[in-house]
Amino acid sequence: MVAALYGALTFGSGATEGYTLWFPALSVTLQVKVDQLSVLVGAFVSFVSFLVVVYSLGYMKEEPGQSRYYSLVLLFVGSMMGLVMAGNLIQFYFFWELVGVCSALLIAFWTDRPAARKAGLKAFVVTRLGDASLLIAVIFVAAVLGTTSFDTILGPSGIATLGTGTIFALGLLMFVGSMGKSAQVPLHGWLPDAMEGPNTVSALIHAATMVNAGVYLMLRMYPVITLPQLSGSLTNIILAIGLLSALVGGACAIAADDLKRVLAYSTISQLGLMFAAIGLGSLTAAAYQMISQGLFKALAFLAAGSVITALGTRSINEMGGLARAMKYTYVGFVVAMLGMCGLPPLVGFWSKDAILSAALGTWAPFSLLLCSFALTALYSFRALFRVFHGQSNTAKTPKESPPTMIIPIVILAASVLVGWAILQPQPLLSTTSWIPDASTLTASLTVLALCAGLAYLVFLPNYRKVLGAVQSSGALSGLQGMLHDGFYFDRLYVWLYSGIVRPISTAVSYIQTGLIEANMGLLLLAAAVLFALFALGVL
Amino acid sequence: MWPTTVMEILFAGGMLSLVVDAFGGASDFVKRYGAAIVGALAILFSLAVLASDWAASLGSIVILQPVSAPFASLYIADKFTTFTAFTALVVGLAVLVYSVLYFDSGRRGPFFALFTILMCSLVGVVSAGDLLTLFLFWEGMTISAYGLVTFGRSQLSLEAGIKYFLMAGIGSLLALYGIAAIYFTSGSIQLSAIGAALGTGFGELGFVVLILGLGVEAAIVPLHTWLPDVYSASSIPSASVISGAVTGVGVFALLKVLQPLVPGGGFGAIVATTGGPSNLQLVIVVLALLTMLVGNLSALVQGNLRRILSFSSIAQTGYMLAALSTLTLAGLVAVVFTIWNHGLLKSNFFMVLGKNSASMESSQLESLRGAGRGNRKLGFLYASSSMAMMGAPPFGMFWSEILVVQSLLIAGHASGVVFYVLAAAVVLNIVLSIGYYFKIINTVVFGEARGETDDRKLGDLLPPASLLAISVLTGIAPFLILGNVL
Repeated sequence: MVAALYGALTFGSGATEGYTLWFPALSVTLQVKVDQLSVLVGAFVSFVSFLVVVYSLGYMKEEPGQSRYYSLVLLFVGSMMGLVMAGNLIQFYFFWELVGVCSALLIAFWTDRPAARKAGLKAFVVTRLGDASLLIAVIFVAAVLGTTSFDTILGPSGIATLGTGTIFALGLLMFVGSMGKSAQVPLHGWLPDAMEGPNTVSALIHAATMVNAGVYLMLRMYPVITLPQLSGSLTNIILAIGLLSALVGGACAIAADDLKRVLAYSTISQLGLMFAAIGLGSLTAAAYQMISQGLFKALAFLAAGSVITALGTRSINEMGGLARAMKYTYVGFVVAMLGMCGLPPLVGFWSKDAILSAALGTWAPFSLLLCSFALTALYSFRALFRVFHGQSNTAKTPKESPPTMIIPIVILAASVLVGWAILQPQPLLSTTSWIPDASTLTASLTVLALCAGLAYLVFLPNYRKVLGAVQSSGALSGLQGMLHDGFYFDRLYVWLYSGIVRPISTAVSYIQTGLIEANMGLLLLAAAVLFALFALGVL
Repeated sequence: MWPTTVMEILFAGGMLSLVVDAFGGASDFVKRYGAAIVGALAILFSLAVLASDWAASLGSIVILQPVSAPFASLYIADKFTTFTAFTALVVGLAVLVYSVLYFDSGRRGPFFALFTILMCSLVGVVSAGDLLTLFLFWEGMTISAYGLVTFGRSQLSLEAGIKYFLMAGIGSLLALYGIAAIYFTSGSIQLSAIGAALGTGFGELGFVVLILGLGVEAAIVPLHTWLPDVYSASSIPSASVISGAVTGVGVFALLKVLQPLVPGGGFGAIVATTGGPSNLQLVIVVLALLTMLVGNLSALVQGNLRRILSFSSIAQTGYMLAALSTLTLAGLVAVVFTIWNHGLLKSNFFMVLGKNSASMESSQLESLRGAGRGNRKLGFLYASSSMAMMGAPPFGMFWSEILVVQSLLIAGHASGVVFYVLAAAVVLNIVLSIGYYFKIINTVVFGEARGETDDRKLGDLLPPASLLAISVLTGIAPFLILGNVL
């Protein structure tokens, strides 16, 4: 971590170093790419990973399987660094897959819990759907250009030389790959279920690092997706998906009762904002949001982990009134929520302001972004009030977590509070204005204040009345059910598998009758068909 | 050059195994290990000969004719045959060592003799330079494999063996018809000259029928129905070597037949003037699609681990067939590398399954539930093997899948949308396969343990673990394995 941070702070100019011919059949050389983007993200990944591993010392102390846990976490961190530092697409994809494998195994870490095992499988399957799309794009580039080195393919003699339709298809395939890893609608359903894994896994992988890999890919391929010949067709799609995910994630977060699922849906929403920034043409805003969301979300998860460990439950209906008993955790959570809501001058404010500024002059994206900010404020303050304020709904006597868990929370809180002072001067982010635009500042602060006030009224003194009103109204309880069920996307996936794939599999398996007569009949039939096709001149 | 020397060593080894077993005397050690040691030494010597000829074999194709006479056998030493022979021998050696641990009672000499003769036949198929030689060694391979399948003489294995024998028999007849048609139209049975047969309709039919005939062994749909029964009913060593080496060589035989048609394949073929795929290619495309779909879709609903692995092999054959359909050098490279990776991993998987899953009941997933939980080393191997077969890094299969898709995209770029569609189908099938591999992990590794613990020691797990380690090496440092080979 120290080396990475030192490298980030003293970074001069970029370079790509090639080492050995790694895969001769594809002419792939092992390459390390050091530039503004890789150094910044690499330093961030190592910073958060270090804190999470320290936190794990306390959090995982009593858990069996520690050697498996730490080996998988370290393999993950190494793979993530390999992904970030990769100098070509194939190397990138190698580590991209490895990151997914580690994630699935860590989600299913508590192997005696069926829900955890199922969540691990779901994560692997859904992300692999996206990976399949990326694989085709990567190999197509290798096949057509003869190289996947970023220096070449992003330059004037690379992908830009291909036809417009081909560039669009490649970009779209890569974006679908990003959607899977970064949990964007409709490939987002794995992330809330991934909360079955240990909290440290959620903080590290599903908040701060792996889920950012998709955004990182889009940032890396930014010169391609913004090529003039595409006329914005691809970035419009990215913008639309980003905004949709931001709104879907935010809406579902308001209805979730599991604290970790609130944060998971929040992550989907915040990642949507990153893609929206890319769609709006602001690489800086997207990169800034990637770092800031990683910081405040990791902080939120670590604080949530502290609460969950103390109370033994993830349901916010069984929490409440913890502010006094768990002061450090409370402060950490408050900082995380305020950072997420974009309160100045916390780190989240600058990134959100940059995104909103990129949408200035557009009506629909600007309005939808504000709606997303509103949802963010609502679910953030809901979580804050329901967990730490109001009456206690638990019989347990909560105690503050040990220092190994608190120290990382404190450090992350400090980074959310003052991290902007270090981040903003970084070369990649330095175009972010120190003086926010008056209209964006007014709009975002107004939304924040209104929604914070609304959340206070709804979720604190009048919560029971509001809950009663919702449950007695058919429309509202239906809406609540739909949000709770994630807009029924999961039911669609289940239907696709059990309604289409499984019946076809069962039908196909009937070919295997086990009867020798049937086996030989099938063989002779195949031969007869082929002979007939040739005799008739079809072949 | 290595082909004839290796075959002589292996054949002699096979015969000597029988002699040692029959005349080993009263020594218990000789009775128990004598035939195996002879077989292992034969394979080791063969690997040494292969290694000594390695560099010379990687250049342009070397055609050998040990005996100068009309219709005398021809043999080929090029990078594809060398690497595939290497694959078969490495897998064979690991399975042979495992077999020594597996058979703890009964007369085993004939097994090791048959095993060594099988290795000889496999090398013969791989290095054959003309269709008749290919056919002769093909028959030798089938008969040896049949002997291994039925070695246990259980009801199930005999039934599986009969199915296999009958199907392979019909396949042989079809292959002979194809050879005759190709000879009739091209005037030659030498691989270097059969390309001329493609110019006529009858010659094209000959190729298709030959592929169909050879495709029985490779388990191309709809000729695959024998394979799940054989994999399920054979002893573990037999299933390991058949899945790891025989099926792979079966696919390689298809490669041999098509290699003369591939520009840059070493036989001087030229690029076709027509833009789109030929009829032959279209037939192979359809067979590839059917094979991978039937393989993966059938595996999804299986409850028996051996049958899951058998359908998985069928699916892998489909991927290799897809690469072959491109008739490109990239496709040939993809097939040979996939044979390597699939051979290592499938053999490994059967050995991990081990003796405790010898019967149909004991190889049910429910019977194996939690086996990995009770024995951590075993659990690690099950999980790693499953992840490896899925194509996850850092295992070698990751690169195989990339090469297969690459060959299809190259062909698509040159010849049209058919290969793009096939590439998408391959990728989607790879995603489908996650369903059953994860089912294995979920049940066997993570499930609650039932019944007795599988208490196999590290020594029993070393042969499969060594193949898995080679696969990891292939994945992390592919240049060490491929180097200047592929």
